[in-house]
Amino acid sequence: MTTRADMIDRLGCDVSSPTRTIVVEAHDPSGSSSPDDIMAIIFGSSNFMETDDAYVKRAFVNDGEVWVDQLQGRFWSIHTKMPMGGILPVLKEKIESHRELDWLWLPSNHLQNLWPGASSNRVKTKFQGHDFLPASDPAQDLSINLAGGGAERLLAYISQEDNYRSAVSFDSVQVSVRDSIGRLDEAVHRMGRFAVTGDFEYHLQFVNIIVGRYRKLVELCEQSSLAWKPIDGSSDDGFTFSGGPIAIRFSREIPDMEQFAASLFAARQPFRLWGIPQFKDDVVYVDAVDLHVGQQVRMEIGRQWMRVHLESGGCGNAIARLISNLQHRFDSRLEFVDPSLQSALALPAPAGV
Amino acid sequence: MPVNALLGLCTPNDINPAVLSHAGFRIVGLEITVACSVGGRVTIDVVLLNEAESHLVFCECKSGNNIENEQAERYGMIDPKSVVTAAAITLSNRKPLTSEVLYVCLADKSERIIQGLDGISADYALLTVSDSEVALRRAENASEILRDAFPGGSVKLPAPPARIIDFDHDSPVSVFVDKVRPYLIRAAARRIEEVSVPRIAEDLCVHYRRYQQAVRQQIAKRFQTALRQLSAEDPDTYRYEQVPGGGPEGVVRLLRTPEEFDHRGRTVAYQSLARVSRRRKGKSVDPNQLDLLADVEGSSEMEDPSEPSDDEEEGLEGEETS
Repeated sequence: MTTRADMIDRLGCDVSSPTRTIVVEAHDPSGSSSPDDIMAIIFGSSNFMETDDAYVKRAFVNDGEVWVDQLQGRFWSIHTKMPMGGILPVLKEKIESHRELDWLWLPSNHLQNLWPGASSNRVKTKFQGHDFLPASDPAQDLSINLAGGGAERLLAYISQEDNYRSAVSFDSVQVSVRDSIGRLDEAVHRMGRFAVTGDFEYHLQFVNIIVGRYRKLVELCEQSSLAWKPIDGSSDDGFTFSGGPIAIRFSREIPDMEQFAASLFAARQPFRLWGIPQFKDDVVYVDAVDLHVGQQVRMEIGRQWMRVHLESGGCGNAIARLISNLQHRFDSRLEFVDPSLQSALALPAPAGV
Repeated sequence: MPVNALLGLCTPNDINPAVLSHAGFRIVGLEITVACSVGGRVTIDVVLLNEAESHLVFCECKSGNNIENEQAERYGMIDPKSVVTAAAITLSNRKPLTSEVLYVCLADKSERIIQGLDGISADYALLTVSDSEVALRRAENASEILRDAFPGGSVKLPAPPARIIDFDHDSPVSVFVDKVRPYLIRAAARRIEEVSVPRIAEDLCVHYRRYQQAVRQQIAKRFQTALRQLSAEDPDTYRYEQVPGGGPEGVVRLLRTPEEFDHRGRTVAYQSLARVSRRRKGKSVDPNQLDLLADVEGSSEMEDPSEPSDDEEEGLEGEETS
């Protein structure tokens, strides 16, 4: 008999032996792939087994053991004691070639406001603007590694500088949590990777909360998708629609629209958007295809704004991927126009933090 | 299309201000057909409701220069209660139901529209739209509720109206090519091997199912022309097969997909599919693939014979817009 408690026992962590968690999105909007089908895609059909917990699977990769917790629905937590270098290449290969799978794409803001009351002792920002900004831009490529209690304050100081304010984008953060629930030292990378020492049960709650607020952002994006509905179910009686474009406002102007569009729609990682941009009066119109999930995404781009038309049933994780990567390549301070989306993106820090 | 500007004014949280939404209006129906008391029927493009005031606005959106007199007259005879029924509108209070007609047109065509409305003494207000402004003209004919939505008579748009409806059956073939190309890329990304024309039309054309048969055929013909063009551009990737005897059927086969390659080869293959379309731009298609005759036959009943169809223009000039 193998239970959730066994998983916790096996994955218990201490300073000398951190535990890793990678959260992936396992989601087939068409509903044609079952969770076990997706498990077979990742691990091979003979390399995973059921446990007595309906949501927990145990799998084997390159002589290592991983535990897959599916309690969070489409967001699966893959826990292991293996080093990241052992598990990541396997996942990378599967995720990049299967549209049922995707990474978590945590926005910079989610890392910046990682945990109420937690002190960040390491912060890494990474901005790679060379495809979107001219060489003359003072922050075309900007990476900062800071350690120590004053790391975030120093970052805040840098962020006030006009030349850098749009280029401070959180890539990974390490926090220490010490409270009545337990103690954790937790490192989080923007692509849903966690490394932890401390109380493993607390870590599971930590991951759940990070994933939960990310899920809110993803689902709000999906609720914005454009849906046409016949009145009274009959197409002869006219129709109504719900949703609309997801509007994004940039804090900086796009300096070169052609370069921006060419970079964004080059079918390359990380955006994986295919499209043929059409230019009209300083606005770019693109019928793009998100190659990762195989869905069409119409986009309109102006000098300081962008609209994304997510098709009905479209995957909100694709919007999160777009947002997170634009934050790391063009504008870390971009905002949604919709206040509820913006709130889910920005995660305003609770009072007292 | 003017309808997009109207929808945008009712859609909050966009780059542009949703002034009609802020004034309490929301869209309760599109393409609502109602019977007129004097006989005949009229299809209202967009119906707006101001719930607090129990006020309906029947909107007719015009892309061209001219109004249709009979249609315009029928708009004036619409019984708002019929619209409530036809669009299954829920009224939340018992205030007397009121209504008005609003024409919506492109700003640079507004004078002709006004002439047309004056010509039949139709005292409707007019919303004129451009990429940078929406203005309420003939405001004296508008209700106070509608006028209040446009203080100063107009509203500036920071961005062109969102393309919520990005094409319809009247769009030129070049637009159909632009729409079907990413559709096929999407199919390739999903490793789909063939797609039928009706399926493409249903997936891409919002109104397809509710169009009358003749219009559906017109749409299908344009997709067929677009698919032939794409097959001619890239015969190694796409092959269009027409069903014998014509008709809206027909299948496009995806002969290869970039998904067959490893991740690096895949990216290059997708990029090359974008380059093919650019490289072929302006180059005439294989005349054996281009079936203009079928288009002429299929569209002759629907199009104004005084104006050349888009298909004819394309064939004469050998242009392929993408």
